[in-house]
Amino acid sequence: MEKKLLQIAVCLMILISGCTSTDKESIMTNDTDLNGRTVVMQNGSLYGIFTPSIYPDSKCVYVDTHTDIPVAVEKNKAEAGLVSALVWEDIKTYYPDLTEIDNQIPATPLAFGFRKDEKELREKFNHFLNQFLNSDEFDNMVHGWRYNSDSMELAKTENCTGGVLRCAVSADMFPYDFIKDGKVVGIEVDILSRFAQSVNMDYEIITMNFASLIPHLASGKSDIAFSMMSISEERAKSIDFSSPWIMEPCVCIVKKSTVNNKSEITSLEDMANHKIGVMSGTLQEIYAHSVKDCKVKIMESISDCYIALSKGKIDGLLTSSISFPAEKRNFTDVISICDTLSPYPLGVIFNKKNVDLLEKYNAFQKEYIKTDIYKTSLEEWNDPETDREMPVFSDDDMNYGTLVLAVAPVLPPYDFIKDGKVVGIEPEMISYFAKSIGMRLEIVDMNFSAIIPYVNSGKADIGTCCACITPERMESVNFANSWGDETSVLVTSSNPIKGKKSIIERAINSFKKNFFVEQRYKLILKGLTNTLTISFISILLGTILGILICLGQLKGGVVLRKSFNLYVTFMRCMPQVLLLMIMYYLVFANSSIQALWVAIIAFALCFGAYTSVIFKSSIESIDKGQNEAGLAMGFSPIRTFFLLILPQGIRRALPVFTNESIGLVKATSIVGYISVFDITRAGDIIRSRTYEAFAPLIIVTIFYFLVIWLITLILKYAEQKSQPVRRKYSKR
Amino acid sequence: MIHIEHLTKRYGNSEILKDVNAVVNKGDIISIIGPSGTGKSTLLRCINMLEHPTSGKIIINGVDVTDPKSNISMIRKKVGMVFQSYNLFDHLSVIDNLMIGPIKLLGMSAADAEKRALLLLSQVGMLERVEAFPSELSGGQKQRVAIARTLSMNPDIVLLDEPTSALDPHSVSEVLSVIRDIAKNGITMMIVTHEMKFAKNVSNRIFYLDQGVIYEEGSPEQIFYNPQKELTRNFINRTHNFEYHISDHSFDNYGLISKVIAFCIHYGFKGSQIDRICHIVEETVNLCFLSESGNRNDIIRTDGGIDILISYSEERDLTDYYIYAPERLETIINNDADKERLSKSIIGGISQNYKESVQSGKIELYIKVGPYDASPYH
Repeated sequence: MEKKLLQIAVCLMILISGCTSTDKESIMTNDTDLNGRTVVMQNGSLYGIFTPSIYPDSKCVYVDTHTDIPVAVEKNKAEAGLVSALVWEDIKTYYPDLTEIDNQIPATPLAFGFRKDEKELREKFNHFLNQFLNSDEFDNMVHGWRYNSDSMELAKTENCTGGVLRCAVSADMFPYDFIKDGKVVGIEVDILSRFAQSVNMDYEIITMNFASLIPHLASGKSDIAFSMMSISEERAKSIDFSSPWIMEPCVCIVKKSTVNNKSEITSLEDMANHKIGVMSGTLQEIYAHSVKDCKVKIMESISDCYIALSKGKIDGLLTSSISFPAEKRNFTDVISICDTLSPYPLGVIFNKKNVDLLEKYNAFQKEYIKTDIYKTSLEEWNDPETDREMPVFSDDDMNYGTLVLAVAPVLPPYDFIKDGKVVGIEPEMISYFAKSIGMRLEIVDMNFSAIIPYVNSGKADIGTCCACITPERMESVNFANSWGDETSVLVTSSNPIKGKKSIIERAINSFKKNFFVEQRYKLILKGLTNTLTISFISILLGTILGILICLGQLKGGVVLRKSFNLYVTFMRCMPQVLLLMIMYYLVFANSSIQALWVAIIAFALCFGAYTSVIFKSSIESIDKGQNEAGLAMGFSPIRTFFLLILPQGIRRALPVFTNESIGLVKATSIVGYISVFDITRAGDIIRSRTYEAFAPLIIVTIFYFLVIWLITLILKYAEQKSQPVRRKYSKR
Repeated sequence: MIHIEHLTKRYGNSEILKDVNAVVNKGDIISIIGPSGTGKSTLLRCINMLEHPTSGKIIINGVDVTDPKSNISMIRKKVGMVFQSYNLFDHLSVIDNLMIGPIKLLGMSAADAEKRALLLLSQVGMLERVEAFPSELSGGQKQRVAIARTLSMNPDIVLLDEPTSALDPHSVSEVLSVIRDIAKNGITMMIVTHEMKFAKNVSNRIFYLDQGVIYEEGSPEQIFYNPQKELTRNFINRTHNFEYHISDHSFDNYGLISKVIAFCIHYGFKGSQIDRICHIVEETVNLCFLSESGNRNDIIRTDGGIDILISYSEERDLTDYYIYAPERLETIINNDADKERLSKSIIGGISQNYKESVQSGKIELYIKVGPYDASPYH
């Protein structure tokens, strides 16, 4: 809000000052290019004197507070801005789009201003300042106000009896003079308070515009003026200055886009002020947060990160060193900047309660990683053209039940989907383990972020997702012994020239790649089946529920009505995704019911609540005369309702009901949260393999369109059926 | 057939029916009249329990319908009701509206029900619109179908709750004709109505409902020509007035005539009656301004203009016409200017009599119009 107001103010000021802004995005590499440009600076600062002499062709624009300068540059209201280096140091993190360029403006000395008739006070101050500047306290004080202003306090002067120093301050220059908790504080105020204490005087702060400071002081209304005031001849005519307490270098800021800056990122440190993409729930996510000053974008899959990188939405991404070679094959336009960042051990996830299984597994793994099977699997799964397959064991030997494995198949070569099956180093390892303990293996695939809750709730016995062993995770699940280390790689775009294929050719290729290669259409069809099943059954069940609720609300007693009202309100307020997860992870946590059916139940519950409102309002909209006519003819109230009111109500409800049904179909796209493989998730899986955004999204969209079209057609038919029939009678 | 004993009905604090006692005999045709808001409709709706009485008893064919134990649906099959707002079943065609009751409630076969429905529709003149839906019918047509639907249940008694109140004047007569025909068949009826002429002509008994009771009851002759009690007399003799002021010759002639016509239509005047009234208004106003020198217009403007009063008594079916002009005009029937006596002869021709007099500084021309032989109910 404040920033918005500020921007408006800046725009207005610049309009008033009569300077036209230019939208020229020309490249500025050094200071001389400032010539002929619009330069914004603070009104009354020395830059207004220096700039015209150094850059005679530049146009100066003045703003009242220095905080407006970067805003003006950011919003293209000026091409460059001049600010104090000290101030810029403190605020530059808020302006990631701005950068510094060289300039020839000299550093200016900052000092406190005194009235010409107060020579004695000035002498005292200079004496104090000389001592203070040479003490260690000065540096500590400056550092403290800059980085830890909350813990800083001013020197106490309440009990000083030697009179009051009146100080004129502009109070808008963090960290020098600013307002905190309604009080003016800062480095300069601190200096002043120490001085006041040393001469046994109290002080009083009067705040005003920077431009008013000198007139205020010169007129005798105040004794000292300060606010990053630089010493100039002009000012020295009306006031005296203390010795300078600091030299203030000037910084020229411009928009980054106007600076020709090649290959900005060469190390992790260069990611400061850049956007870095990571996959949700991974080690890289944790690690990215520790990279100084960078903005972390969390995405659902690593392929989303690559897509974002190629579209320029992020500047770099962090991925696992293990999966990077495979990703690089799919996504050629990237380069790794640095690898072997932040090594972490990887482990298989176990439910906390199942310690027995964990011990068995640890023993198995110890032997397994020595075998050739393991070694070949490491190499072969890494090859995208591999014909390696998951081992198949006969169920006959599996006498000890089923072992459920939760996998996030988005990280080749560890866990991924090939020809519609979950494969990879980890699933293979677990399948040998399952065989070793005589259990049949059942693989459930889901989102990465769902794995730990899934194992934690006991729905799966083992989870694999290339999981790093972190203390935080160890609180909710147990880890098997580490079977390898994962390091992170920083990846950025290498921007090579794109292929010269035509758009249509590329679209066809992309479609083939996303739909036919590795029989990916099978994934889509599997997802489609589930989406259809969930949609149709939950619409059916939900409609029955909706009718029951509606009848209860219309005809039921007070208790029934109230409780149904509560139910409807609750369901309408509940985000469907939360309801879905609550149903799955809490309500049905310990039941063996399939996730697909949990989804159907959750959606039916919602749909029932929504449609009951539709039915109720349709029925209530029917003239009560219809009811009276039925009763007066001798129909019982129940027969009146079903014979006369309901048919009219359904007719009115159907168009809205159709709408709601369409909404439900679209809402089913969230079932991926509880590991149901629907069409959205199919699209996600394909994207995670092909690293393309366009084709999978379009394919999924088309299939949703078809499903909704089908449902609309069916309901349209019902709508026609519900229209009254005009019976034909021959006149006699 | 129906005994109503000490019936009261209260909505919150307002007592609509205080103590209603009545006996309805088989074959009775009872019109319930009275001022608005006196509970005429409430009384009717209590009889088939669409409203639950606060206290009292209603006994129909020996069954107390106010008793919660009695099967009200069974009784309602024998007590038909016609509503002011028709309440046809909107999702059923005309014939299905007539067939649903007999089939679902009387167990009639579809063929029999259809035969009977067509017979009833021909009685009410709706055979043409058998296949139509209610939304495709005019108000009068809907009400005729609604009456046929009520009859389709073969009721012992028919309650008609202001059957013509929602209709335009033209449709009123078609519906009233249908009701009159049905009344001739000897069915018992109770009709809440504002159509006094109809009540007078069709009923054998009139209930005048006022003050929450049946204030006066009697034959149509007694109630309409010799009411015994004061409130009944006031109600019967009340008149409906139309007033209009003309300040000078530049008045809105078309506006005046259209307002007169609207007034006439509202009280169900026939076309020829409306024509006569309009002629009288036009000619008398014309006579006021008619002069050779033109100074009559000045007199009218300076002395306060002309006032018109049309006073219609529904019960007596009489229309009195008054026009008041400034005294300085000396006469409205202006023989000097109206050389050929055209206006005068028109007025004389269409009125029973007219009289000019001077009353409190104004000339009053009184013209008696009607009653008419043309009334359809005589």
